[in-house]
Amino acid sequence: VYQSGLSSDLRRHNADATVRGRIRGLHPNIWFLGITSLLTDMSSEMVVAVLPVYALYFLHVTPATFGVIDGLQQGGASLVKLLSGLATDRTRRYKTIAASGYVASLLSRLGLLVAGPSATWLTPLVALDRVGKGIRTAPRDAIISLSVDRAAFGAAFGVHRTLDTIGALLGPLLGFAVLLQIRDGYDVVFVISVALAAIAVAVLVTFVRQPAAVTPEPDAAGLEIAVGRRFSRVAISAAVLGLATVSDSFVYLSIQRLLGFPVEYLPLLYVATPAVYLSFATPVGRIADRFGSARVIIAGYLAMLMVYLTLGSGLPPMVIGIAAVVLLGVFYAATDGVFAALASAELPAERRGSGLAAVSTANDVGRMFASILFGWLWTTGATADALRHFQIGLVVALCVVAVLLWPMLRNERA
Amino acid sequence: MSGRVRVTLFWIFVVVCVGGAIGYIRWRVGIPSRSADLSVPLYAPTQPDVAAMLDDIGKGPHLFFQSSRAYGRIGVVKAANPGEQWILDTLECERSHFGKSGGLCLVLNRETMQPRAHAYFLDARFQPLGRLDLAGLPIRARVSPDGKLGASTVFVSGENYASEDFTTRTTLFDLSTRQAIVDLEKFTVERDGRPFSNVDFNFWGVTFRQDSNRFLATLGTGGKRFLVEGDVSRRHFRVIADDVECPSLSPDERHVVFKRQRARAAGWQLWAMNLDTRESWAITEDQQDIDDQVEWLDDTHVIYGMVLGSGLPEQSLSVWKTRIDQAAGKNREFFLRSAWSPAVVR
Repeated sequence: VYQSGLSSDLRRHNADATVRGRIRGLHPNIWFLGITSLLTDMSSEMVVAVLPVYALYFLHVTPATFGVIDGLQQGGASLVKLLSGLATDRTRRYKTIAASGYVASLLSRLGLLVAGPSATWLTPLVALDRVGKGIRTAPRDAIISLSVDRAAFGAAFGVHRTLDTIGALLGPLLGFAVLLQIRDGYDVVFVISVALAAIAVAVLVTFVRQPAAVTPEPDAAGLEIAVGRRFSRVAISAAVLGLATVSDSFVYLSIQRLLGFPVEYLPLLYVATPAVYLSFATPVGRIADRFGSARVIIAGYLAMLMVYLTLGSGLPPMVIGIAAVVLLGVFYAATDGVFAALASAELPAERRGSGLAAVSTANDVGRMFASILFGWLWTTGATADALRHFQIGLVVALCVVAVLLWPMLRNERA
Repeated sequence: MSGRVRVTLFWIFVVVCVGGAIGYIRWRVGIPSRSADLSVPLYAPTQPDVAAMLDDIGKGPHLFFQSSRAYGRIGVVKAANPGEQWILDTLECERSHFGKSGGLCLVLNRETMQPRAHAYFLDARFQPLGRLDLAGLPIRARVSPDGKLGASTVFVSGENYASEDFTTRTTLFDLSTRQAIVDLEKFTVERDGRPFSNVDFNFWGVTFRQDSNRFLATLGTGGKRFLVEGDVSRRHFRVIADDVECPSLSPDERHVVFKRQRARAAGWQLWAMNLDTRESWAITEDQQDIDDQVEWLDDTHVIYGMVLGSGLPEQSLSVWKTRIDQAAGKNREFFLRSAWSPAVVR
């Protein structure tokens, strides 16, 4: 539908991907953006992992300041994401805007290094990193979707999310490894982080191709309304499903309490789920290309429903623990990149930036309210009740979404 | 720029980045430390002149603190003569506090992916007698004046189902048996004569009375903070005032100094309250953000740690002194360099 003026080289790659259905045939942009994300996430997560100890016990910031920094890290930069999406579509400067987001994070790391041990600069520098993350997401996802044919959206986002998650896993390990070797080696963590972030920007600038100018559809007006309607269904679904999803930390904490293992092993769970996610993201993306993104998303949320059921079941704790972690990883593999793939297919090329940002923000906002709601349920009643309410909520949400996404569930290639 | 030139430039850039990082690491490994000046002399607590000084405690208050010149090892000065510091060769504490017969030293175990605290019980010569593992990042330690009871507060992440924010967990210890007595969340609470309870109850900021049974603390619930009085033997709390956080009780038990959120800026300011009249007044300047455990030097002066400016903790971290009477106004005076977590032992 969106046939943009892709270069012949790009078309050839797309053709390869479609014909052979092979991951190897994906446009190089996917791989290079994946490597950029891998390096950036590594750079970012290694700092995030050491930041509490750096702030509290090296800089001696007050617990209150630390609370602000921690809050900044938890909160997504949703508004920035939306604005950046709009700017991306208006200017069509995908690569430039994405690069500026990566550069903002690089500057934040550089700032930590140059400012030295300074409690004053810590909060604004952490904020700058979050802003950078907000800026780069929309144009990056737009480039991914504009670099492949719609038949390979699932695979493209799958490959990208796999690489991205590898970075998020390696970062904290590297950060802690440095601190174990070098006492108070925070400066070393920052130096490595800066080097990784700089190489990430260089990969983007050197190897990622700006998608060629997108030409609006000939009968834009009529089509836009039709496309708009289908797209709104996707965005509303993202919000509705987000509203019925509990936070990861709740799942981890429940497992930890069930199994009764010491809290120092909690990070293992934080590692296990992304490990499952990254192993499944690419194959699940290909399944989405084959059987339809909407169906895979529904399957992903059914996996989440099974997480709830497992946690509330009377199975042996060990079984619950393993099943919940695997299911949670499968849930992420089947929903995160796949939602972007589904939304991309319903968006005209010139709306990809803002559209993808809107879907991801809708989901974030849904999850944020879910978190508040869960907290409220937990405060007023028992945790088991809260879990039961969320089970019912997710079933209702799935029914609503099945109706909303019906055209996509029915029409898709089988 | 042709493709080949771009790719060549890219690889040059990568080599520069990787080379730079490796060069920095190699240089940095050769430097022993950054946050501590270990050239300061460390004294063994058993050394005769140090032991003699510690034996002097009955003759006048001594101040124990953590030295930022020696990775949090314990330093000692006589309160009357803070210029003469002795830094002892002890455990490296993140927070510590002492009573007459011993103390508590919270050490941060950084060797796991989720760093957390160990509470070490120290005797009067700073020798560790035992250890308990705590569930999070150490933020407060307090010991009763006679050294029989202790309390530790840690930051726990993901503890609360309601949010991913950090929450605090406070535990009471019996220092003679070296066991945790109870988690404060297990105490019953009464307010205006009626039972008061909520799942989001959170306790912190413990300060002991002289009797080693009762103590004051902060209760946080629903965004509000209350001053509560706890009774260890009855496992019971009574709400005694509103809007008081991190109390510190004077030796004569007539005043508490506490922190209160500043009206015009983020952060905290120290206030004093007369427990008889319930009158309270600010004692530190409005522009200063202070958030440390307050310690009483005598019945009219408090001391607390504060970071001023930037730089390594050795330069920026110091202990300040404030007079609490209303007539003195908002005031602050320098007291001790390169130190935090002061504890006065009388």
